[in-house]
Amino acid sequence: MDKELYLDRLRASLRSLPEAEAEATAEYYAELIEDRMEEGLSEAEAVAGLPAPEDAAQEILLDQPLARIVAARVKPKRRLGALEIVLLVLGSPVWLPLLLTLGILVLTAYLLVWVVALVLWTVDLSAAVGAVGGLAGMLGGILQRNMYEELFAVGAALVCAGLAILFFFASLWSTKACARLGKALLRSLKAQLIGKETAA
Amino acid sequence: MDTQMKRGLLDICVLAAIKNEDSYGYQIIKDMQPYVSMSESTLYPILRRLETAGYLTVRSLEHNGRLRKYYHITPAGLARIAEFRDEWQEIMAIYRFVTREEGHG
Repeated sequence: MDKELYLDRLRASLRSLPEAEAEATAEYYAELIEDRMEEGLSEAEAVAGLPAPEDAAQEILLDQPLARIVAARVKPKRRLGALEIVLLVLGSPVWLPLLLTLGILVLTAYLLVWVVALVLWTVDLSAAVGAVGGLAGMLGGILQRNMYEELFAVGAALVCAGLAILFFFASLWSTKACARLGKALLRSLKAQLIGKETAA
Repeated sequence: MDTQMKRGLLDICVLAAIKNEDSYGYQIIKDMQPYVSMSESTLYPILRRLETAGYLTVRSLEHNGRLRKYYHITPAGLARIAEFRDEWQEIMAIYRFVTREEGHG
């Protein structure tokens, strides 16, 4: 592969980026190829040492904010005709709710993951409150000189304190797992959008 | 290694590569080679990110009848390196603690 073919394939894979951005990337790779050739490599050798243009593009696209990728995906490649605009408007009662539903479904799926963490934290908080309540009950038992009530309260406080500690770590772990999952989801969503673009 | 951590470390490596004098893409990769191997496709997004963050500036200079982009570190970039050195002291302290535990076990 020669330099021009490499750069053409790179530009083609970067179609979803703003043109200036794609051009700056092509300049960067052109400079690398020329620098390698200056060191005595042939053009073909210089190009062969670089990552495949599609891989190079993928790495750049994954670094773009999600909003930009989506904006580039939905941007029409040509101007819409009058008939298409009329159909879009007339069809809006159908496609708009569908699109909204899809968006809400994705958001719900993501929130659902966080609900697990939230529930764990809530259980943890209740256990902590229970432990404090148990201590209060113990004091009450002492004041009323009721040994059974006192013993029960001490036992309850200990159990609650134990649960609070256990659930604290479970909550912490699940929160971290949620954050990691969220990042992974975002990345796979980006890859999905980019993948369709480069495959097209 | 944790990808987020590696990403942060590579950012610092690139800043360190232009710390003493301005450099260009191919030279940065060659300078880093003995310590950490980095592909051309990894370097580019890092350079863009560092430029957006204000850690470096870019200018095109003529070289052998063509343009070549030179990267210049900003005071903010130098401050980021200094910050990294401080952070690393903390990490080293943790490392010493971890290996000390292993030594006793």
